[in-house]
Amino acid sequence: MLYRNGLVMYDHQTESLWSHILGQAIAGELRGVQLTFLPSLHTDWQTWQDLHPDTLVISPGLYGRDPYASYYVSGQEGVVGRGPFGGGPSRDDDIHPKAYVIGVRLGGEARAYPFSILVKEPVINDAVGGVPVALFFDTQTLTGAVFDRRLGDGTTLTFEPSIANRRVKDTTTGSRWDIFTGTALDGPLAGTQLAQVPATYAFWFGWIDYHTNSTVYGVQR
Amino acid sequence: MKILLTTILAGLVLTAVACTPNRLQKAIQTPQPDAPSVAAPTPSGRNLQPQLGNANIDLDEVATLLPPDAIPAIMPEDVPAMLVTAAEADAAGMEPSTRVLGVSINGESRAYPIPFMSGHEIVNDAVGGRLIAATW
Repeated sequence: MLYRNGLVMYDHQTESLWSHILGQAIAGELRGVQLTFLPSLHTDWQTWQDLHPDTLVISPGLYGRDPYASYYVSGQEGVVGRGPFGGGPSRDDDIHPKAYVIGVRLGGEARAYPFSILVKEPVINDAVGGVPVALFFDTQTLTGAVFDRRLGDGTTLTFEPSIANRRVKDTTTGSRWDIFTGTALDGPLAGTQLAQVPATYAFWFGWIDYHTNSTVYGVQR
Repeated sequence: MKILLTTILAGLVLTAVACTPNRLQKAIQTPQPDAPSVAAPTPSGRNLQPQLGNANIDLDEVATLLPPDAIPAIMPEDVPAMLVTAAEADAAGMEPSTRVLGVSINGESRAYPIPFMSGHEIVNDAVGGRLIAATW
């Protein structure tokens, strides 16, 4: 089952129906219940195992070529396509429907960060829903991570605009941080861990169809 | 509500699953030699349509193209036997460029390869003491 081209899941316990993009039950006994999003990383296998050498992974013997490989590079928007039946609300096409974005929802606000902007601005100090956040983007692996810029003591950090060897410096203390784990590796804050913010890796159409009031970083809409 | 404790969703929500309905049908009904994970559909016979009776969304925006469970979600009890270490995955030929969804919770890490997720869409798992669903 699809809702606006996105997966609808059901739980075995109540058979309520859930939008996976919203993480919310749209029908059934649990209608309206919101699940908790957890931080994750969409990256390549090499990068992931470098970050987490002790990771376990689904065996490569259990899958083959991605059946959607051609879809990713096609112009097609979802299974149903756009329109009143399944395709989500109409919208202006100021961003290509199949452009990749990182979507962040915080404090009732939704904001999308297009890859096209992230490749030019791989460090972004921003605030979403009142929460100071930093986006770090690795242009080699097209991997983005979002962190809360606040420390436990109330300090809010900002980060320098450039990344070197997947490290970024904060402007306050000059400590160097791993852009994917949010851990300070050296400097006065060495060992400090930023809180990672859950984010959604999506095609633009897949994000805006469910977050119709979303703003877009760097784009006036 | 307590039921939900068993179904906490991970923040792995990605894009709308897509390809043409025909292609999707073909993909799951005709396993390719190079895609052994794309199983033949085994609809469970569940009928989820009545649940839509109290939906809080416009039903015009809901489409049912396949019966429930035609794309088989992975259940928690099935995951352990599917997992290998990084070294084992590399030895088995996993490409460094394969995209993965990675989660790391309380020191325990998991990678869900995207080509695998395309064939199953949901993995129910337990990582670092949390019960999660990785969805794609």
